[in-house]
Amino acid sequence: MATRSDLRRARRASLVALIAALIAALVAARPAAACPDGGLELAIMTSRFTVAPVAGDRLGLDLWSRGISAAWGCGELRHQLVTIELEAPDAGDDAGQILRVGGYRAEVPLGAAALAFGLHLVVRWGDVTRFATPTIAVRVAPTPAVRLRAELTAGGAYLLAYDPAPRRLTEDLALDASAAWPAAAATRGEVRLRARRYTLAATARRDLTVTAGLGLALGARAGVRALPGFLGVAARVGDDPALLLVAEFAYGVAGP
Amino acid sequence: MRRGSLLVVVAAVMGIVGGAAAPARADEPRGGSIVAIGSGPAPRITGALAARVGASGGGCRLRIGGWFGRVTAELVLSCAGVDTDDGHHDSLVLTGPSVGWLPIANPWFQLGVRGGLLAGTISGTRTAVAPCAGKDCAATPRDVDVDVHGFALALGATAQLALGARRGGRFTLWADLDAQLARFQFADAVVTGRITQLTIGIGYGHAF
Repeated sequence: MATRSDLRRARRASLVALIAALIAALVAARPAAACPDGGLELAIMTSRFTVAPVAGDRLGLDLWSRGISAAWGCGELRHQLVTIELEAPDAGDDAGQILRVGGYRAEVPLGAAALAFGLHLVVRWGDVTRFATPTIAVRVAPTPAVRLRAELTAGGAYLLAYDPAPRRLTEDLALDASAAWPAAAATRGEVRLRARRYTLAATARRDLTVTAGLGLALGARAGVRALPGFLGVAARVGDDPALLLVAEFAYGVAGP
Repeated sequence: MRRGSLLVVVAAVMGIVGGAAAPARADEPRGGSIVAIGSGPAPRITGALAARVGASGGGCRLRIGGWFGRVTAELVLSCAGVDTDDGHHDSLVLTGPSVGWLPIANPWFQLGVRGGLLAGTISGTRTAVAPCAGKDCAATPRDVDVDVHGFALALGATAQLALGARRGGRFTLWADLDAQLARFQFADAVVTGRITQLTIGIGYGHAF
Protein backbone atom coordinates (compact mmCIF):
# COMPACT_ATOMS: atom_id res chain seq x y z
CA MET A 1 0.00 0.00 0.00
CA ALA A 2 1.38 3.39 -0.95
CA THR A 3 2.32 5.63 1.93
CA ARG A 4 1.59 9.31 2.11
CA SER A 5 5.19 10.18 1.22
CA ASP A 6 5.02 7.83 -1.80
CA LEU A 7 1.91 9.64 -2.96
CA ARG A 8 3.58 13.00 -2.52
CA ARG A 9 6.67 11.81 -4.39
CA ALA A 10 4.61 10.40 -7.26
CA ARG A 11 2.53 13.55 -7.46
CA ARG A 12 5.53 15.82 -7.54
CA ALA A 13 7.29 13.65 -10.12
CA SER A 14 4.25 13.69 -12.41
CA LEU A 15 3.79 17.43 -12.03
CA VAL A 16 7.46 18.14 -12.66
CA ALA A 17 7.28 15.94 -15.78
CA LEU A 18 4.20 17.82 -16.97
CA ILE A 19 5.81 21.21 -16.42
CA ALA A 20 8.98 20.01 -18.19
CA ALA A 21 6.88 18.81 -21.14
CA LEU A 22 5.11 22.17 -21.23
CA ILE A 23 8.38 24.08 -21.27
CA ALA A 24 9.83 21.73 -23.89
CA ALA A 25 6.81 22.27 -26.12
CA LEU A 26 7.09 26.03 -25.75
CA VAL A 27 10.80 26.00 -26.56
CA ALA A 28 10.59 23.48 -29.38
CA ALA A 29 7.65 25.07 -31.11
CA ARG A 30 8.52 27.21 -34.05
CA PRO A 31 7.05 30.71 -34.22
CA ALA A 32 3.39 30.70 -35.11
CA ALA A 33 2.68 30.81 -38.80
CA ALA A 34 1.40 34.12 -39.99
CA CYS A 35 -2.35 34.47 -39.82
CA PRO A 36 -4.37 37.62 -40.44
CA ASP A 37 -5.23 38.53 -36.86
CA GLY A 38 -2.90 36.35 -34.82
CA GLY A 39 -5.83 34.06 -34.14
CA LEU A 40 -6.81 36.23 -31.19
CA GLU A 41 -9.92 35.26 -29.27
CA LEU A 42 -11.06 37.21 -26.25
CA ALA A 43 -13.87 35.90 -24.09
CA ILE A 44 -15.32 38.21 -21.47
CA MET A 45 -17.32 35.58 -19.69
CA THR A 46 -18.59 32.05 -20.13
CA SER A 47 -21.25 30.62 -17.82
CA ARG A 48 -23.01 27.29 -17.74
CA PHE A 49 -26.15 26.86 -15.66
CA THR A 50 -27.26 23.26 -15.09
CA VAL A 51 -30.61 23.44 -13.37
CA ALA A 52 -32.88 20.81 -11.85
CA PRO A 53 -36.30 22.26 -12.77
CA VAL A 54 -38.10 21.04 -9.65
CA ALA A 55 -36.84 22.33 -6.34
CA GLY A 56 -36.18 19.63 -3.75
CA ASP A 57 -34.32 20.11 -0.53
CA ARG A 58 -31.32 21.40 -2.53
CA LEU A 59 -31.02 24.49 -4.64
CA GLY A 60 -30.65 22.41 -7.79
CA LEU A 61 -28.09 24.59 -9.53
CA ASP A 62 -24.76 23.29 -10.81
CA LEU A 63 -22.87 26.42 -11.85
CA TRP A 64 -19.69 26.71 -13.87
CA SER A 65 -18.39 30.11 -14.83
CA ARG A 66 -15.19 31.43 -16.38
CA GLY A 67 -14.05 35.05 -16.32
CA ILE A 68 -11.90 36.83 -18.88
CA SER A 69 -9.81 34.53 -21.01
CA ALA A 70 -7.67 35.08 -24.07
CA ALA A 71 -6.31 32.71 -26.69
CA TRP A 72 -3.86 33.50 -29.45
CA GLY A 73 -1.51 31.91 -31.93
CA CYS A 74 -2.06 29.82 -35.01
CA GLY A 75 -0.03 27.27 -36.82
CA GLU A 76 2.39 25.40 -34.58
CA LEU A 77 1.19 26.41 -31.14
CA ARG A 78 -1.80 28.09 -29.59
CA HIS A 79 -1.86 29.64 -26.12
CA GLN A 80 -4.71 30.30 -23.74
CA LEU A 81 -4.74 32.31 -20.53
CA VAL A 82 -7.67 32.12 -18.11
CA THR A 83 -8.08 34.58 -15.27
CA ILE A 84 -10.60 32.82 -13.05
CA GLU A 85 -12.99 29.89 -12.99
CA LEU A 86 -15.71 29.02 -10.50
CA GLU A 87 -17.34 25.61 -10.27
CA ALA A 88 -20.15 25.04 -7.80
CA PRO A 89 -21.64 21.54 -8.18
CA ASP A 90 -24.20 22.46 -5.54
CA ALA A 91 -24.39 26.23 -5.69
CA GLY A 92 -26.32 26.48 -2.44
CA ASP A 93 -23.42 25.07 -0.48
CA ASP A 94 -20.74 27.63 0.41
CA ALA A 95 -18.11 25.03 1.27
CA GLY A 96 -18.63 22.92 -1.84
CA GLN A 97 -17.14 25.28 -4.40
CA ILE A 98 -14.02 25.15 -6.53
CA LEU A 99 -12.26 28.37 -7.44
CA ARG A 100 -9.41 28.29 -9.94
CA VAL A 101 -7.35 31.46 -10.26
CA GLY A 102 -4.97 31.85 -13.17
CA GLY A 103 -4.46 29.19 -15.77
CA TYR A 104 -2.41 28.52 -18.87
CA ARG A 105 -2.94 26.01 -21.63
CA ALA A 106 -0.86 25.25 -24.71
CA GLU A 107 -2.39 23.51 -27.71
CA VAL A 108 -0.24 21.73 -30.26
CA PRO A 109 -1.77 20.62 -33.58
CA LEU A 110 -1.14 17.02 -34.62
CA GLY A 111 -2.57 16.62 -38.12
CA ALA A 112 -6.33 16.44 -37.85
CA ALA A 113 -6.07 16.52 -34.08
CA ALA A 114 -4.73 18.86 -31.44
CA LEU A 115 -3.34 18.10 -28.02
CA ALA A 116 -3.56 20.65 -25.21
CA PHE A 117 -2.09 20.61 -21.77
CA GLY A 118 -1.84 23.17 -19.04
CA LEU A 119 -2.07 24.11 -15.41
CA HIS A 120 -4.42 25.90 -13.06
CA LEU A 121 -2.09 27.98 -10.93
CA VAL A 122 -4.08 28.36 -7.70
CA VAL A 123 -7.06 26.19 -6.88
CA ARG A 124 -9.28 26.67 -3.87
CA TRP A 125 -10.85 23.22 -3.57
CA GLY A 126 -13.60 23.51 -1.00
CA ASP A 127 -11.72 24.68 2.07
CA VAL A 128 -8.19 23.76 0.98
CA THR A 129 -5.79 25.52 -1.37
CA ARG A 130 -3.75 23.73 -4.01
CA PHE A 131 -1.18 25.00 -6.47
CA ALA A 132 -0.54 23.89 -10.06
CA THR A 133 -3.21 21.33 -10.86
CA PRO A 134 -2.93 19.93 -14.40
CA THR A 135 -5.36 19.58 -17.26
CA ILE A 136 -4.96 17.75 -20.56
CA ALA A 137 -7.24 17.82 -23.60
CA VAL A 138 -7.45 16.35 -27.06
CA ARG A 139 -9.44 17.66 -30.01
CA VAL A 140 -10.06 15.58 -33.13
CA ALA A 141 -11.77 16.49 -36.40
CA PRO A 142 -12.24 13.17 -38.26
CA THR A 143 -14.14 15.07 -40.96
CA PRO A 144 -14.59 18.82 -41.49
CA ALA A 145 -18.16 18.51 -40.23
CA VAL A 146 -17.45 16.61 -37.03
CA ARG A 147 -15.51 17.78 -33.99
CA LEU A 148 -14.72 15.58 -31.02
CA ARG A 149 -13.15 16.86 -27.84
CA ALA A 150 -12.15 15.40 -24.49
CA GLU A 151 -10.55 17.05 -21.48
CA LEU A 152 -9.31 15.62 -18.21
CA THR A 153 -8.89 17.94 -15.23
CA ALA A 154 -7.02 16.45 -12.31
CA GLY A 155 -7.85 18.39 -9.15
CA GLY A 156 -6.19 15.78 -6.96
CA ALA A 157 -2.81 16.25 -8.62
CA TYR A 158 -0.89 19.30 -7.50
CA LEU A 159 2.59 20.55 -6.83
CA LEU A 160 1.84 21.97 -3.40
CA ALA A 161 -1.20 22.19 -1.17
CA TYR A 162 -2.32 23.39 2.21
CA ASP A 163 -4.29 20.20 2.58
CA PRO A 164 -4.43 18.21 5.80
CA ALA A 165 -5.60 15.09 3.93
CA PRO A 166 -3.70 14.72 0.66
CA ARG A 167 -5.67 13.24 -2.21
CA ARG A 168 -4.59 10.50 -4.54
CA LEU A 169 -3.85 11.36 -8.15
CA THR A 170 -6.99 9.52 -9.19
CA GLU A 171 -9.29 11.61 -6.96
CA ASP A 172 -11.00 14.91 -7.72
CA LEU A 173 -11.07 14.14 -11.41
CA ALA A 174 -13.38 15.57 -14.05
CA LEU A 175 -13.65 14.23 -17.59
CA ASP A 176 -15.45 16.33 -20.20
CA ALA A 177 -16.14 15.05 -23.68
CA SER A 178 -18.21 16.49 -26.52
CA ALA A 179 -19.15 15.85 -30.11
CA ALA A 180 -20.49 18.55 -32.44
CA TRP A 181 -22.07 18.31 -35.89
CA PRO A 182 -21.91 20.20 -38.21
CA ALA A 183 -19.01 21.71 -36.32
CA ALA A 184 -18.64 24.96 -38.24
CA ALA A 185 -22.35 25.79 -38.47
CA ALA A 186 -23.89 28.63 -36.50
CA THR A 187 -26.47 26.19 -35.15
CA ARG A 188 -25.18 22.70 -34.53
CA GLY A 189 -26.09 19.57 -32.66
CA GLU A 190 -23.96 18.74 -29.65
CA VAL A 191 -23.70 15.77 -27.33
CA ARG A 192 -21.73 16.23 -24.14
CA LEU A 193 -20.57 13.93 -21.38
CA ARG A 194 -19.22 14.97 -18.00
CA ALA A 195 -17.97 12.53 -15.40
CA ARG A 196 -16.84 13.70 -11.97
CA ARG A 197 -15.19 12.07 -9.03
CA TYR A 198 -14.95 14.77 -6.37
CA THR A 199 -14.57 15.00 -2.64
CA LEU A 200 -15.70 18.47 -1.63
CA ALA A 201 -16.13 19.60 1.97
CA ALA A 202 -15.83 15.96 3.09
CA THR A 203 -18.68 14.95 0.80
CA ALA A 204 -18.05 12.50 -2.02
CA ARG A 205 -19.66 13.22 -5.38
CA ARG A 206 -19.56 10.66 -8.17
CA ASP A 207 -21.75 11.40 -11.13
CA LEU A 208 -22.06 11.17 -14.88
CA THR A 209 -24.05 13.71 -16.88
CA VAL A 210 -25.05 13.21 -20.51
CA THR A 211 -26.33 16.28 -22.33
CA ALA A 212 -27.87 16.71 -25.77
CA GLY A 213 -28.76 20.04 -27.28
CA LEU A 214 -28.11 22.81 -29.74
CA GLY A 215 -25.00 24.91 -29.94
CA LEU A 216 -25.87 28.43 -31.04
CA ALA A 217 -24.02 31.43 -32.41
CA LEU A 218 -26.72 34.01 -31.86
CA GLY A 219 -24.99 37.17 -32.95
CA ALA A 220 -22.07 35.75 -34.86
CA ARG A 221 -20.83 37.58 -37.92
CA ALA A 222 -17.92 37.04 -40.22
CA GLY A 223 -14.81 38.22 -38.40
CA VAL A 224 -16.64 38.62 -35.12
CA ARG A 225 -17.56 35.52 -33.22
CA ALA A 226 -19.78 36.63 -30.41
CA LEU A 227 -22.53 35.15 -28.29
CA PRO A 228 -21.91 31.46 -28.73
CA GLY A 229 -24.25 29.53 -26.50
CA PHE A 230 -25.79 26.19 -25.82
CA LEU A 231 -29.22 24.99 -24.80
CA GLY A 232 -29.90 21.38 -23.93
CA VAL A 233 -31.39 18.76 -21.70
CA ALA A 234 -29.37 16.39 -19.59
CA ALA A 235 -29.61 13.31 -17.45
CA ARG A 236 -27.37 12.85 -14.42
CA VAL A 237 -26.76 9.46 -12.86
CA GLY A 238 -24.78 8.59 -9.77
CA ASP A 239 -25.03 10.79 -6.69
CA ASP A 240 -28.04 13.09 -6.83
CA PRO A 241 -29.56 11.74 -10.10
CA ALA A 242 -31.79 14.22 -11.93
CA LEU A 243 -33.16 15.40 -15.24
CA LEU A 244 -31.65 18.78 -15.98
CA LEU A 245 -31.86 21.84 -18.20
CA VAL A 246 -28.56 23.22 -19.42
CA ALA A 247 -27.94 26.77 -20.63
CA GLU A 248 -24.49 28.01 -21.53
CA PHE A 249 -23.56 31.47 -22.65
CA ALA A 250 -20.22 32.80 -23.81
CA TYR A 251 -19.77 36.47 -24.49
CA GLY A 252 -16.65 37.29 -26.42
CA VAL A 253 -15.13 38.26 -29.71
CA ALA A 254 -12.57 36.80 -32.03
CA GLY A 255 -10.08 38.89 -33.91
CA PRO A 256 -9.27 42.58 -33.44
CA MET B 1 -52.35 38.90 -12.81
CA ARG B 2 -50.23 41.17 -10.66
CA ARG B 3 -49.22 44.62 -11.82
CA GLY B 4 -45.51 43.79 -12.34
CA SER B 5 -46.24 40.81 -14.56
CA LEU B 6 -48.78 42.82 -16.52
CA LEU B 7 -46.22 45.55 -17.19
CA VAL B 8 -43.66 43.02 -18.43
CA VAL B 9 -46.20 41.36 -20.73
CA VAL B 10 -47.47 44.68 -22.10
CA ALA B 11 -43.94 45.90 -22.75
CA ALA B 12 -43.01 42.64 -24.48
CA VAL B 13 -46.13 42.64 -26.67
CA MET B 14 -45.62 46.31 -27.59
CA GLY B 15 -42.03 45.54 -28.53
CA ILE B 16 -42.92 42.57 -30.71
CA VAL B 17 -45.83 44.31 -32.40
CA GLY B 18 -43.82 47.49 -32.87
CA GLY B 19 -40.94 45.54 -34.34
CA ALA B 20 -43.15 43.64 -36.74
CA ALA B 21 -44.48 46.94 -38.01
CA ALA B 22 -41.03 48.45 -38.37
CA PRO B 23 -39.02 46.80 -41.14
CA ALA B 24 -35.25 46.87 -40.81
CA ARG B 25 -33.62 49.93 -42.32
CA ALA B 26 -30.57 49.93 -44.46
CA ASP B 27 -28.90 52.52 -42.28
CA GLU B 28 -29.47 50.69 -39.03
CA PRO B 29 -26.37 50.40 -36.93
CA ARG B 30 -24.71 47.00 -37.11
CA GLY B 31 -24.23 47.02 -33.41
CA GLY B 32 -23.13 48.86 -30.35
CA SER B 33 -21.71 48.51 -26.91
CA ILE B 34 -22.93 49.79 -23.58
CA VAL B 35 -21.71 50.15 -20.04
CA ALA B 36 -24.63 51.33 -17.94
CA ILE B 37 -25.72 51.92 -14.40
CA GLY B 38 -29.18 52.64 -13.10
CA SER B 39 -31.38 52.67 -10.08
CA GLY B 40 -35.03 52.42 -9.27
CA PRO B 41 -37.62 51.92 -6.59
CA ALA B 42 -37.51 48.96 -4.22
CA PRO B 43 -38.36 45.80 -6.14
CA ARG B 44 -41.58 43.97 -5.49
CA ILE B 45 -41.05 40.54 -3.95
CA THR B 46 -43.84 37.99 -4.07
CA GLY B 47 -44.30 34.28 -3.45
CA ALA B 48 -42.82 32.30 -0.58
CA LEU B 49 -39.70 34.44 -0.77
CA ALA B 50 -41.72 37.43 0.46
CA ALA B 51 -42.17 35.70 3.82
CA ARG B 52 -38.38 35.56 4.23
CA VAL B 53 -37.26 38.91 2.85
CA GLY B 54 -38.96 42.19 2.04
CA ALA B 55 -37.51 44.84 -0.24
CA SER B 56 -36.30 47.98 1.47
CA GLY B 57 -34.59 50.91 -0.15
CA GLY B 58 -33.96 51.16 -3.84
CA GLY B 59 -32.72 48.74 -6.41
CA CYS B 60 -29.79 49.10 -8.76
CA ARG B 61 -28.53 47.59 -11.98
CA LEU B 62 -25.25 47.39 -13.86
CA ARG B 63 -25.17 46.35 -17.51
CA ILE B 64 -22.11 45.59 -19.62
CA GLY B 65 -22.53 44.36 -23.16
CA GLY B 66 -24.01 45.39 -26.42
CA TRP B 67 -25.95 44.33 -29.46
CA PHE B 68 -25.21 42.81 -32.85
CA GLY B 69 -28.00 43.54 -35.28
CA ARG B 70 -31.13 42.69 -33.35
CA VAL B 71 -29.50 40.39 -30.80
CA THR B 72 -28.31 41.74 -27.47
CA ALA B 73 -25.88 40.17 -25.03
CA GLU B 74 -25.07 41.60 -21.67
CA LEU B 75 -23.59 40.80 -18.32
CA VAL B 76 -26.16 42.06 -15.83
CA LEU B 77 -25.88 42.73 -12.13
CA SER B 78 -28.96 43.67 -10.19
CA CYS B 79 -29.09 44.53 -6.52
CA ALA B 80 -31.54 45.55 -3.84
CA GLY B 81 -31.65 46.04 -0.12
CA VAL B 82 -33.84 43.59 1.75
CA ASP B 83 -35.11 43.26 5.31
CA THR B 84 -34.98 39.69 6.56
CA ASP B 85 -37.55 37.96 8.74
CA ASP B 86 -35.06 37.96 11.64
CA GLY B 87 -34.81 41.73 11.56
CA HIS B 88 -31.59 42.31 9.66
CA HIS B 89 -30.90 44.41 6.62
CA ASP B 90 -29.16 42.37 3.92
CA SER B 91 -28.17 42.82 0.29
CA LEU B 92 -29.65 40.86 -2.57
CA VAL B 93 -27.30 40.66 -5.54
CA LEU B 94 -27.86 38.61 -8.68
CA THR B 95 -25.56 38.58 -11.65
CA GLY B 96 -25.25 36.66 -14.89
CA PRO B 97 -25.66 36.65 -18.65
CA SER B 98 -28.67 38.04 -20.44
CA VAL B 99 -29.58 37.79 -24.11
CA GLY B 100 -32.33 39.64 -25.91
CA TRP B 101 -34.07 40.42 -29.16
CA LEU B 102 -34.68 43.94 -30.42
CA PRO B 103 -37.83 44.14 -32.55
CA ILE B 104 -37.13 47.88 -32.75
CA ALA B 105 -33.47 48.49 -33.51
CA ASN B 106 -33.62 52.08 -34.67
CA PRO B 107 -30.33 54.04 -34.46
CA TRP B 108 -31.94 56.35 -31.90
CA PHE B 109 -34.30 54.04 -30.10
CA GLN B 110 -34.21 50.38 -29.26
CA LEU B 111 -36.90 48.32 -27.60
CA GLY B 112 -36.56 44.64 -26.90
CA VAL B 113 -37.33 41.63 -24.80
CA ARG B 114 -34.69 39.90 -22.78
CA GLY B 115 -34.03 36.73 -20.83
CA GLY B 116 -31.17 35.72 -18.61
CA LEU B 117 -29.94 33.41 -15.93
CA LEU B 118 -28.57 35.07 -12.83
CA ALA B 119 -26.87 33.63 -9.77
CA GLY B 120 -26.15 35.36 -6.51
CA THR B 121 -26.74 35.74 -2.83
CA ILE B 122 -28.71 37.40 -0.09
CA SER B 123 -25.84 38.38 2.13
CA GLY B 124 -25.33 40.17 5.41
CA THR B 125 -23.56 39.95 8.72
CA ARG B 126 -24.69 38.39 11.98
CA THR B 127 -23.20 38.47 15.42
CA ALA B 128 -22.31 34.93 16.35
CA VAL B 129 -19.83 32.83 18.26
CA ALA B 130 -17.40 31.74 15.61
CA PRO B 131 -14.28 29.62 15.85
CA CYS B 132 -11.02 31.46 15.49
CA ALA B 133 -7.33 30.74 15.80
CA GLY B 134 -6.70 32.69 19.02
CA LYS B 135 -6.69 31.12 22.46
CA ASP B 136 -9.46 33.08 24.10
CA CYS B 137 -11.62 34.09 21.21
CA ALA B 138 -13.69 30.94 20.74
CA ALA B 139 -16.44 32.20 22.99
CA THR B 140 -16.29 35.81 21.86
CA PRO B 141 -19.16 36.91 19.64
CA ARG B 142 -18.00 38.32 16.34
CA ASP B 143 -19.55 39.57 13.13
CA VAL B 144 -19.69 36.74 10.61
CA ASP B 145 -20.77 36.90 6.98
CA VAL B 146 -23.91 34.98 6.13
CA ASP B 147 -24.74 34.11 2.53
CA VAL B 148 -27.92 32.57 1.20
CA HIS B 149 -27.22 31.35 -2.31
CA GLY B 150 -29.72 31.33 -5.12
CA PHE B 151 -30.40 31.88 -8.76
CA ALA B 152 -33.08 33.36 -10.97
CA LEU B 153 -34.53 33.20 -14.43
CA ALA B 154 -34.89 36.83 -15.43
CA LEU B 155 -37.41 37.87 -18.09
CA GLY B 156 -37.98 41.45 -19.04
CA ALA B 157 -38.04 44.33 -21.45
CA THR B 158 -35.51 47.04 -22.19
CA ALA B 159 -35.97 50.43 -23.83
CA GLN B 160 -33.02 52.61 -24.85
CA LEU B 161 -32.86 56.16 -26.19
CA ALA B 162 -29.60 57.37 -27.71
CA LEU B 163 -28.53 60.87 -26.72
CA GLY B 164 -25.72 61.33 -29.19
CA ALA B 165 -24.44 60.62 -32.65
CA ARG B 166 -25.64 57.76 -34.83
CA ARG B 167 -22.11 56.34 -34.94
CA GLY B 168 -19.28 56.52 -32.44
CA GLY B 169 -19.35 57.19 -28.71
CA ARG B 170 -22.62 58.36 -27.22
CA PHE B 171 -24.68 58.40 -24.08
CA THR B 172 -27.89 56.42 -23.73
CA LEU B 173 -30.92 56.69 -21.48
CA TRP B 174 -32.47 53.33 -20.68
CA ALA B 175 -35.15 51.59 -18.66
CA ASP B 176 -35.37 47.92 -17.67
CA LEU B 177 -38.39 46.09 -16.36
CA ASP B 178 -37.50 42.66 -15.01
CA ALA B 179 -39.37 39.77 -13.48
CA GLN B 180 -36.88 37.45 -11.80
CA LEU B 181 -38.20 34.00 -10.94
CA ALA B 182 -35.86 33.23 -8.07
CA ARG B 183 -34.95 30.22 -5.96
CA PHE B 184 -32.85 30.57 -2.79
CA GLN B 185 -31.49 27.95 -0.44
CA PHE B 186 -32.08 29.08 3.13
CA ALA B 187 -30.74 27.01 6.02
CA ASP B 188 -34.01 25.15 6.50
CA ALA B 189 -35.60 25.09 3.06
CA VAL B 190 -35.43 26.03 -0.59
CA VAL B 191 -37.66 29.07 -1.14
CA THR B 192 -38.96 30.39 -4.44
CA GLY B 193 -40.48 33.71 -5.37
CA ARG B 194 -40.63 36.48 -7.90
CA ILE B 195 -38.73 39.76 -7.81
CA THR B 196 -40.13 42.49 -10.06
CA GLN B 197 -37.77 45.37 -10.59
CA LEU B 198 -37.92 48.60 -12.57
CA THR B 199 -34.62 50.38 -13.21
CA ILE B 200 -33.86 53.58 -15.06
CA GLY B 201 -30.33 54.68 -15.84
CA ILE B 202 -27.73 56.08 -18.12
CA GLY B 203 -25.11 54.35 -20.19
CA TYR B 204 -22.23 55.05 -22.49
CA GLY B 205 -21.11 53.04 -25.48
CA HIS B 206 -20.08 53.01 -29.10
CA ALA B 207 -22.43 52.43 -31.99
CA PHE B 208 -20.89 50.90 -35.11
